[in-house]
Amino acid sequence: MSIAVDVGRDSAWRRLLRDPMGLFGLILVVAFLAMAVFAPILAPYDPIKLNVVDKFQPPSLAHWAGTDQLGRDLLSRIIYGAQTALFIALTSVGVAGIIGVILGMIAGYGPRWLDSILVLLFDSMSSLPMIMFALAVITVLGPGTYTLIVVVVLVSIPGYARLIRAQTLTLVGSDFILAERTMGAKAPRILFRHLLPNVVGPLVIVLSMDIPVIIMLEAGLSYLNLGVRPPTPSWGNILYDGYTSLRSAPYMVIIAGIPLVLATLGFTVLGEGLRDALDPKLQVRGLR
Amino acid sequence: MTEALMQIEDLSVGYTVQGGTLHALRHVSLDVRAGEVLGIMGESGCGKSTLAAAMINLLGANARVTSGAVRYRGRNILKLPAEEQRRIRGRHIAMVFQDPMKAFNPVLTIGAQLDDYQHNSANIGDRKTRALAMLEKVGIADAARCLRMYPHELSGGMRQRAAIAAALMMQPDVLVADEPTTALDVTMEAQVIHLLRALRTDFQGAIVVVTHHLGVIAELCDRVAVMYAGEVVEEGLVDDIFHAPRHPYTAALIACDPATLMAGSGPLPTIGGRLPDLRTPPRACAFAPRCALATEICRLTPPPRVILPNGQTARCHLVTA
Amino acid sequence: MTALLQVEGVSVDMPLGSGLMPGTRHLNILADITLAMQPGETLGLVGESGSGKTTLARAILGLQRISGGTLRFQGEPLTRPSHFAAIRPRTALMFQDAVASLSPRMRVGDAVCEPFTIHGQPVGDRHARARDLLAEVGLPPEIASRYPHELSGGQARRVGVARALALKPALVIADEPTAGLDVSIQAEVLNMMADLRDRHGLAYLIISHNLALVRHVANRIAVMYLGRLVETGPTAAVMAQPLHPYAKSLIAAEPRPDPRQRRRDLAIKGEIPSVLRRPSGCAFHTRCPIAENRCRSDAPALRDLGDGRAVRCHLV
Repeated sequence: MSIAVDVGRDSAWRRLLRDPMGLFGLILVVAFLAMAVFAPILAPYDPIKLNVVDKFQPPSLAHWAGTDQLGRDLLSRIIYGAQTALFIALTSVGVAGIIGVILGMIAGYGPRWLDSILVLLFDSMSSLPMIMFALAVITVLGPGTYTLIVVVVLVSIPGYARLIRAQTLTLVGSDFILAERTMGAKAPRILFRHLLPNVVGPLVIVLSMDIPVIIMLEAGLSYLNLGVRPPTPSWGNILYDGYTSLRSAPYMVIIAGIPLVLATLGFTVLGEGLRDALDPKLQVRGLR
Repeated sequence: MTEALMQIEDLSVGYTVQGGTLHALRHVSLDVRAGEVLGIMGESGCGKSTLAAAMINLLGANARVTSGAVRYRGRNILKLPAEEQRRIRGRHIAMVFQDPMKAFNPVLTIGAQLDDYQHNSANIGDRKTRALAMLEKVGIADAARCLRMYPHELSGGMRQRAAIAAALMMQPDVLVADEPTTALDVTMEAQVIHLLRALRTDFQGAIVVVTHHLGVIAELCDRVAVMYAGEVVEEGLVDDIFHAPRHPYTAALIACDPATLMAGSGPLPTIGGRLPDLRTPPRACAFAPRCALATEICRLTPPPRVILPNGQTARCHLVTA
Repeated sequence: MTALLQVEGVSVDMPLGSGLMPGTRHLNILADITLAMQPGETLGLVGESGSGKTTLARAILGLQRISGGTLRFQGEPLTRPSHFAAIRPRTALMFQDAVASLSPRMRVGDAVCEPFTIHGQPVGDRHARARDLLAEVGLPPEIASRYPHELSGGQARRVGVARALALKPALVIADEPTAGLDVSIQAEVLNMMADLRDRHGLAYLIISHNLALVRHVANRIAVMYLGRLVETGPTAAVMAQPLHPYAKSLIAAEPRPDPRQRRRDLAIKGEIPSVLRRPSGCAFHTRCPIAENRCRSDAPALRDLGDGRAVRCHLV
């Protein structure tokens, strides 16, 4: 049974900070962002400078994470690798998110024939086998950072657009949108002032949980030499180098794996924390 | 006067909320007698739904009984072991909800669910006959067809009838109905009121109707308890309560219902003020801050429960026997 | 004097089928609705759920396309979307669920100023404007910084009224203005609405199934049944002596807060049929206590009886 409780003011932000797991995810994500932004300051060496004399050095005081087959400092490469990984993940998620929101809102709010066409488009895009599609795009455009972003954006749009469309559809018939229409509000105002703030919440969560998937995809494709071109430091490239030298330098694989695991964990946990913090049903304090 | 089927004795229930305990019921005492329709009337937040939930022992997880008892045939049902409670619920005390959709499982037919309610009877044929008879009794014309339908296929009024049939399937002694007509249209509401009154005459038990709708109480009930801020402030026969209310709150509530005014013009009387915060319930009369007649004593000491010669009781300093 | 609102022979059909392939079949929701409202008048539109009263309100505001008949507002015909857009500042809709009608992530202060923003009218000092509008409906200024879910039912209702009245409209359509409110709060909201009507010369179209409410506030009443207007007239006359058998049963079915006036028998049996299975002839004949043969085959027309009263029944 329900009972009336005093409704308290409680921001999503504060609720996220109060959730220990959410806080943990947030700290990890902020740490990786700081690592990427301050890479030139944090990295002890130049990540692409060759030093063949010092190749395959195990971790030491001079090289905390050791060196690779070309004598490059691994710690510096991992720090700069964060830059690559986050640049690709945030750019592609951002671009795909913006396009997804626009297409999804058009489909959900626009005329029904347009909706039908867009839904058909989303369905056909997501019915393409993702790996084949990725390989085809890479073959045409050639491997590289920007090709990777294009692939991720194209693959992600249908899912995001469909999510936003569903959110929009449930809100279009709601009283507050009808109220705006009776007051004479025009479509752009309804879309951007009233629908947008109410539909992006779930998308932010999905986006944050997709970031680790993209980081993994980047690492995977780079490992296959289809992603970021060497010598640009990328976690995938480091892993690849580690595997080829597994016998002589087993530490390389482990060291390149650690940031990958932590970044995945951080973004996933943050996404889950955001989901709980943004849930409007939990906005009433004391019912948690 | 018939003896009480159920006795609520000095019942207090609190909910754990942010900032302490919300005292939803405070020292409520009430008898439910066989063969009567008892109304529990009040505005939202007065504790009437908590009282209904306590009567069928379905208080929420954050509720705590801080004093008193709910006795059914002499036994405190709040203190029984879980297995006994379950046996009493449904078989002896049944409930009808405001939203009959919630009372039914959406993926089973009405027939299958009415069948489930009769788990004590072994014979399938018997169970079906009884389900049919019960649906006819609650005024469902095509009962055989109704048995094959799913809850969403019935209209609101039919669904509420079916919910009443389901509640009566086990031949309970007490039927608790929480806002049974609030979700219905006027003509369906009138039919459900008519049905409940008709049931009262051939049903040995008691019907308890919880509602904020004064018209429903007046049309349906024999006796009524008026609740305010977790307390029963006045109790008596409907005729006495509606025609000679003694508690100022009851009088004000009846006065501000537009249905009591036949010709409509001029402003309606209002009560003014708001319910007290039940996390820190007032020690004296809870209605005193909103009461036009309140005096010094009302704000300082809790009012006594005055019993009048006609059996009516009122919790007010200004009422004398 | 020009009527504020004229509804003449309006009907609404909804297409069955959807998406890229709209169907050719239609479902009739409203037909032959004729009524007029004068400035400053309060008209009560009553009927059960499924009677079409909300659809009519939406049609008047151009939110629902009409398939026949004409609508006029202050003498201007409303046929194209631009016509409806032109009358927006002069009309307002109050929703049954007041909380749901407020944008969930917009503060109350911004919500009540929304009509000014939409119509590009000068707001001046937003805070002062919001404070004035809230004061007009008896709310303290600190409400302006709240979000809709932080309001009580009565407060949300008042915010809805404040927003509806922001541009000083000539017509306010109120859909179940007191649904879900407690008796004492309901009285406060009704008094406030009456007070605002007197001060600003508003006309209210009140949609409700609560006869007591309509009787209290409306000058005239219109009773609907299954998409047809069955009776209209001055409230006092219709309430005292309803002519249409449905209006009679509806008024008799209302529970009265007086145990001495209890009904002995049922005023009306059965329930309103679905629009998908509209009865032939007079739509009410399936429940009508006095129906004759011709009621089953011929649909009656709305007949003017003089004294502002009109009834749709063969037998009156």
